[in-house]
Amino acid sequence: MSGRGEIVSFGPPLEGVRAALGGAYTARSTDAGEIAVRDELDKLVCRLGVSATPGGSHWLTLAPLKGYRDDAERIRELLLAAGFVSEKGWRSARVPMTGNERADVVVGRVLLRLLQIMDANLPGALADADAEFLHDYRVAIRRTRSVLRELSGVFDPAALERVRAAFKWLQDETSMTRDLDVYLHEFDQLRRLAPEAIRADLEPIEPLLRERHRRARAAMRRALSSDRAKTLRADWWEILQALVLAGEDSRAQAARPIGKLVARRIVKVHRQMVRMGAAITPESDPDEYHDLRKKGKELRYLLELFGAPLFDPGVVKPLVKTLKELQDVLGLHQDREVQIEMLRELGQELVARPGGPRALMAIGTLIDRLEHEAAEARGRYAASFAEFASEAQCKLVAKAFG
Amino acid sequence: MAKSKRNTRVVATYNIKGGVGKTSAAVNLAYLASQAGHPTLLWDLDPQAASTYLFRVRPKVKGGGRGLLRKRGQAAAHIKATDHENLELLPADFSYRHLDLALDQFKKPAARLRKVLAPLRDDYDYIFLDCPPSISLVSEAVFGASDALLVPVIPSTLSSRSYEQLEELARGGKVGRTGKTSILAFFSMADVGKQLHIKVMQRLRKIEHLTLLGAAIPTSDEVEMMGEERNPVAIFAPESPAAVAYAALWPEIERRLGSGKSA
Repeated sequence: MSGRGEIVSFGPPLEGVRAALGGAYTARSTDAGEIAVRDELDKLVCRLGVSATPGGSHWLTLAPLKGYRDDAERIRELLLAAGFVSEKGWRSARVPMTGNERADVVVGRVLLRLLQIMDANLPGALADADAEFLHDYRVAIRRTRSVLRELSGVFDPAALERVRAAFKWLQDETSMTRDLDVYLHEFDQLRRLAPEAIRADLEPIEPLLRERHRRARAAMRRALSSDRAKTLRADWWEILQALVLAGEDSRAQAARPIGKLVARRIVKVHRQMVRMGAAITPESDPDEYHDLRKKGKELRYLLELFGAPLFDPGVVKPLVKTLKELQDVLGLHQDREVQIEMLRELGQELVARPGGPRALMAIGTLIDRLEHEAAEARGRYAASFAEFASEAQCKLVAKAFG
Repeated sequence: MAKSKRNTRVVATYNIKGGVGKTSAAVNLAYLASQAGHPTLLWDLDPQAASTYLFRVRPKVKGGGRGLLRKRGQAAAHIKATDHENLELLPADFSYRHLDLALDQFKKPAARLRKVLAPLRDDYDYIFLDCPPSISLVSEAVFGASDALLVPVIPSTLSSRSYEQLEELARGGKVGRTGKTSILAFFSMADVGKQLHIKVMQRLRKIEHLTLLGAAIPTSDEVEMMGEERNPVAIFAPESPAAVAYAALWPEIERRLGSGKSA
């Protein structure tokens, strides 16, 4: 759903592009605010759309001309080689580490990178430049919270409690806006899901969603710009800076090698997931699916942030793959459950509005469809869980991390 | 063959002689068509690659002319956007110098180009063919594929003679699909300061069965400058007599093709 661009530039984009392309291509600004890139025949081969976002980043989008895809790829490579950052790089929290380093040193490094991601995305999230800024901001918060939970032993308990409460607050303050970003984005899809005959009856929903979105966004902006948020950020920065200097009496795992610590957590969370997942049946409460999904995220963050740089990619990659597949099924189930709940709740507000009763009936039809899809996801659950929890995979996890 | 939804017109700039202004006509007229909002393709069939050069594109088609002719749907993969909106180019390739031989391998060589163009008709309102100067299997295939031949005629005795020859061939049913390919001539590189040019123009205009369009493209520095500027004249010298003449010529051609607004 990103429309912000593919490649990020932090300096003046035209100068940066020129320097990156060297003698291979020339770059000029156009009246339309784009950058035109030409080859040695002075032929236009690619247009770079430029959008400036609050916070000083410029996002470039490559639009190759027909017949010049290879040139566009080369231009992309030259830009990335010169220090431009891909959208994937913008999101990536990967930092260098080795298994023998002190846990608190590595955890501090990871969390500083996550804080950097939050800082980078905050202006865009506040300005509503693109929904992805808020999304990236929230993913960084979620990852931070996950690290605080899984590797809590490197922190002083009193500080930890304070910080965890603070990040929970931040996440809560941004949830409604993100949910509505997604609903609005998905509303078209939802409308298409509805039978032709009732599609028009769903019309009153969109303005209602937009109204809520506006309110949620205003509240979020107030919270994120508040003194409380600023203090939180400053406090967190200081904790991270001073982490390795703080006394170790209250930080039991601070000096342990990160590799061992993480391996233990991966094995444990994997085992918990296998246990939780095995207890789930098609009749289980939606919350059980949701809890498994949350646990899955914990494992995924451990694997992505620490597992990938520290352990055998031959084990980590297939594990992440089966985990992702399982998470996709769980995610679809959860999305449908959330949509159903949202529609039910919207229905109550819609009744009193013009066209409300008809909309309510249409919502009923739509909910039937969504329930059907949620049931389908449940149907797919057993197979993807079986793969994730297979004996071979469990053995592999035990061998690699045990 | 699936019937295209568009009423695509295929226009070839053709003359047996070289150096008469075929390429500048193809480039400038295709540009005017595209600027009026018509998706337009120019296929540079001349191995000398002059129009390809004017659009700053490398004269290279992977697999060469033979590859383009052989497989249906091949052409689309080699099309390049020019720097101008709505105007695309199928570049020249040095291998086009053997296009005759490549065509000769097919059962109906004269119909082959038409077949190659068929799948492109969905994408363009106008397809221009910039042809090499010759009378050969390639020109026969071009005639077979075109709705109209645009024939630039320099108003000098020798040059105009070749146009009359072409017209005779056409009347004898030897050019294009009988009755379907119109031959539209226009004066090119005309110099009204020269008595000879004026005389020839007057003489040819009087011959009833020759279709000579009204606008004449004057001999001009701007057309020569195209090689330097590598752009249609309308871009770098929009007020020049040549640009004005092309702008007058194009609606006339559109009318004759039955695709113009007033048609």
